[in-house]
Amino acid sequence: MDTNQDAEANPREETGQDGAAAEPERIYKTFTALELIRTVTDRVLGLLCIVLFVVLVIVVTWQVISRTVLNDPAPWTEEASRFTFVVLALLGAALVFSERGHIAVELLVSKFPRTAQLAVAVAVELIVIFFALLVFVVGGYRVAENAWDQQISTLPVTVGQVYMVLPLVGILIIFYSIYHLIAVLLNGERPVPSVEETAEVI
Amino acid sequence: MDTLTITTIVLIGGIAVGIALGLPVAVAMGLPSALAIVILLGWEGAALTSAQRVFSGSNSFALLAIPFFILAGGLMTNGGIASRLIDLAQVLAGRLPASLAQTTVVANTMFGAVSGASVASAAAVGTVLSPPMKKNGYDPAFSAAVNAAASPAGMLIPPSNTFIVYSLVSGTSIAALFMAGIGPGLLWAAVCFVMVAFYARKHPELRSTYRPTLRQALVVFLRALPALALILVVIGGILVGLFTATESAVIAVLYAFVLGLVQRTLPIRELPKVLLDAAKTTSIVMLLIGVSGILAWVLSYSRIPETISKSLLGFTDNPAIILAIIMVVLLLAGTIMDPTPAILIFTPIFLPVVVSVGVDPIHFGAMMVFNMCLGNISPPIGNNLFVAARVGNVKIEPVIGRLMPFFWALCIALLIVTYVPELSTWIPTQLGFISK
Repeated sequence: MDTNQDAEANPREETGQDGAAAEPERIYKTFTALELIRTVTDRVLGLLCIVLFVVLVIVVTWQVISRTVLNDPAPWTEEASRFTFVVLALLGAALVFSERGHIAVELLVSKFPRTAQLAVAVAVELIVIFFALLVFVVGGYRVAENAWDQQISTLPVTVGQVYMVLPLVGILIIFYSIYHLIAVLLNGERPVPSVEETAEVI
Repeated sequence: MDTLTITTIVLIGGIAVGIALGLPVAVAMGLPSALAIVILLGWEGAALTSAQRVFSGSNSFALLAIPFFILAGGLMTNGGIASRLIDLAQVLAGRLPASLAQTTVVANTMFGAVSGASVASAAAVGTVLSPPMKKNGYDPAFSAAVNAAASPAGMLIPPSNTFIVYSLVSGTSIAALFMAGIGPGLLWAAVCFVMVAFYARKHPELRSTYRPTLRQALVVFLRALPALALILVVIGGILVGLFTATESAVIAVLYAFVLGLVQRTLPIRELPKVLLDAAKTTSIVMLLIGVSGILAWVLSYSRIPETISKSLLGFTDNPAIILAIIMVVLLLAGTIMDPTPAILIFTPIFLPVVVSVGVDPIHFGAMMVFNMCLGNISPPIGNNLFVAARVGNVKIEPVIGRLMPFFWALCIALLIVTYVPELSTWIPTQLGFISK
């Protein structure tokens, strides 16, 4: 959340040596557009996570009731809850990338001088993009393709269709990384994300 | 160099450098693992295998217990169950010397028995008890230190998300692990209790004047009763085999939700935020778990654990020494790493070693989680320490000074947990979860 405030408090003016006065203005406008897309994406993902979580609670509750009270276990509940959970967890993971909230050890980097921190921040985002591209987008698309016709026995979808969440999440992660790359370089966002000290650890 | 050596270097070197440079641990763990598969299978195979692993790693019904316990914890802290438990703790510990400090210990322990994690507990207990402790002449740094020291007991006392993660990587039963956590969890609380008692002897001025009448005590007990009943339903349900951990976790969610509504302590407007926060915490853990599936694949394919196992066993085959080495490594890792990534990385490496010298996997889980709890309170990075200092409105440095006696005493307790297996295995064995 505080990254937004940083961005607003610090709309960076100087961009470089060229001295082209229109250039920073244009970059800043593009960035505002990016910011808007990010806000909308965050909202949509957040809403999706809440809805999926409620669905998850309802499905597993129904599983317990049907098994223990009605003595007639509903077999679809297990698969439905597992797949809902994977989709929820992956979409949530993408959302956490928006906040740079994934667990990381910043102990060493936080002691670096600022230029080194910037270099590391750029490297980190580029590595995240490469990882998301390789595993989520390319790998995810291939597994989805392979399993496209594989029917889930108790649900009206195929395994491949559920797998499509992988490339989708990959694209979202890449978008967020590009956003942070630009924000760190041009918009004064902190190169080392501030540690969420109150985060629950398990 | 043969392929296996290169793979090992890419894997271990990549993970170490990635973590040191502040990459998200999930990526620091996942990318070197994926690259190691590139060496073994080529790009195409690596992308496919990795994606498959990330997906199937989180596609498990048992893991569903994690989001539900997190959500139940969120509902309980927001819905007033926490404060009722603290009231009860105050009645229970009220007559002891330094009673508010002992209340902190008791409240954290009880909260551990209704929730699967410990930071929320430190936040709730510290928020409620810091002001009265300050008013009664306690050093705020000491108050925060007691809270930080006592809160991780919740990760040992069932239900515990940390044990669910260990259960996944070790292939052991969640129910057995939950029961194995009781002994070490109570030992943790007892150590804090004793350390506070020592402190109280040196500070006789910290006597409390709080003397509840029987009637008041009864009211507090009745108000806390629904929360205590939750312990019975969750733990009891798993114990007698009525529910799986996942099912009992969803029951905990419904129970905390309904209780919050009936007692009018849970603001409906807060619900979306509670759900979203729980979803995010879940996702952080689940991404780590999913990605650790890639690592697990590489480790089993390349037989790296066997190599480490052989070299350790070539050095000594004395289980006591091997466990000592492993505990020191984990303690060091735990000071900078969170429990989940540490467990996901080190369990597949160390478990085969200790099993080959006759250590029970359930017992190893108990000592590993105990060890990780120490990492949560130890400087430089310990979330329980940070949170306790923050809610106590004190700087971290003075808290560390007050905390260290607890830390060293708990290190001795770790020795007991490590070398007295019965402390962990007696209860699950009696209940038939561990066959002899």
